[in-house]
Amino acid sequence: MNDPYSILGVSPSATDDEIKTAYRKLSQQYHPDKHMDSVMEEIATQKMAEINAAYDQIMNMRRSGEAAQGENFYINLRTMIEKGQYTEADNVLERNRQEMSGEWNFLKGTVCLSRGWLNDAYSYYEKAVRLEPSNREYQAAFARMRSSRNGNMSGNPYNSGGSGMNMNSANCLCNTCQLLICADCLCDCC
Amino acid sequence: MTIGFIPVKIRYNKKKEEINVFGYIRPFKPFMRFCEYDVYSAFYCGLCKKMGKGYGQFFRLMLSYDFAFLSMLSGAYSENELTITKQRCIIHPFKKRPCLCDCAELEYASGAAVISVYHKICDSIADSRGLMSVFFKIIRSFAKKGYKKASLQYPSLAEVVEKRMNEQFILEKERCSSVDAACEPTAQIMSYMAEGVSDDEEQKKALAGFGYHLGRFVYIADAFEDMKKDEKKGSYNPFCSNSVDDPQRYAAESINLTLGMIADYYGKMEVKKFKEIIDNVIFLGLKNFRLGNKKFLKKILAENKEIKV
Repeated sequence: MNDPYSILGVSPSATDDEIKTAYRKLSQQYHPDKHMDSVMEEIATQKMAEINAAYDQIMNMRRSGEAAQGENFYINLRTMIEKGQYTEADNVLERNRQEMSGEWNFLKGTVCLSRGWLNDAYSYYEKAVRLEPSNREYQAAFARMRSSRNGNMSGNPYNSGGSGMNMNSANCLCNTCQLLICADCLCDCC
Repeated sequence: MTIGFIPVKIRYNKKKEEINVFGYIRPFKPFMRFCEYDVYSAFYCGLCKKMGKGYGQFFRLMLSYDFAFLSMLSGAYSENELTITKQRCIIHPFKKRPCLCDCAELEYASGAAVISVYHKICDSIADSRGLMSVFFKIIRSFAKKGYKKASLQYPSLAEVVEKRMNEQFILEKERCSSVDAACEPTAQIMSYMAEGVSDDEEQKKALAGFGYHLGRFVYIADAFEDMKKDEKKGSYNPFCSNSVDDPQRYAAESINLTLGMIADYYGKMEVKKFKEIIDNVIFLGLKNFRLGNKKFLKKILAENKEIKV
């Protein structure tokens, strides 16, 4: 049998969605109903069977190979990230969006974090933890970000234990000494 | 944060004199020692004078805390001995104040301040229409000469600022809904400025990250303060265009995330001097940036007119 990818007219690196679209397009083109009673009917039926087989083969290959192949994919990505090639890693991640995979979300979060895009990083980490709640690595990364989101700053010599920027600011700032002295510093800062 | 118990009742009296100062990177004065505050204000005054002398008196009006901090940072990385003397100035003609003598540490910060002020004015021209734009154009004419001088001294910095300000203009025009993307230009500018403080490669890396998040902080803090105003006017604000339920909370959390990263990078920096003062700015000043907002301060003071300490 020929290469299933060439039958569908897609490259082996195409995403699942691209393959689906190509399959749909071809199957419409060769649908036996379209060629009923014509000389083409036999050829169309044959072609249709070929397309179906190719599509099934690709999908099966991808599903079964996903575990092994997927791991390799992520190992490569991790080495890239370790080497600091964030832009390349981000490109690979964007080309193969697997939003339902914990690892994908975790790595995407790491890339975002390295760029300083903290809000995005936080939501990707959050999703990674939601998808794979038992993964320690994801948990640790997420917990770290969550703690700083709650107002912790590492190495804080004042060790305030405070809650960072509290939104009930009136309450938080009721700490009156602060108020007074702040008022004072506004007044004679000049 | 707990401060020792002082058994007195204090009534707060409003003082009238208040001078407008810009910037979000401020120290938290209540926790500063007297000597630390003197050093800090010496940098502030020194920068003000330096800008006046080097680039024209106009720039002294645009002095901001952010650049006072930058000058402090370059002071912290230099080995030179700094001299502080008590001097008079136009704004405080009667009382002598500690002021840093003209030195190389102030040079960089004042150049950076001039470049950024000029581009801020250009940005305001692009944002406004009619009379306001004429007004800003007049202001720009005051700044032009100083800017030319500064951009000749720091050509790469001027280029970076110009490029990033253009990016920001486009982002705001497109009403970018991602907070991270909206912060990027300011963050990159500050990153580049902070990097210039040291010559050491390792330190440059730490400073770049530190500056990036400091810029992010400044942008978010500014957006946070303007949120209500922007909502009313319909002007761009990254938090208003967001589809989050509670933009106030989201903004506060974004700030906290950024502060966490600032602390991380600060841990990697090796400042040689003024550690206590910089600690104060980073760990207390940034967190309490809202106290710089006079309306906010007045509001909370109005609620607690009589304060038991």
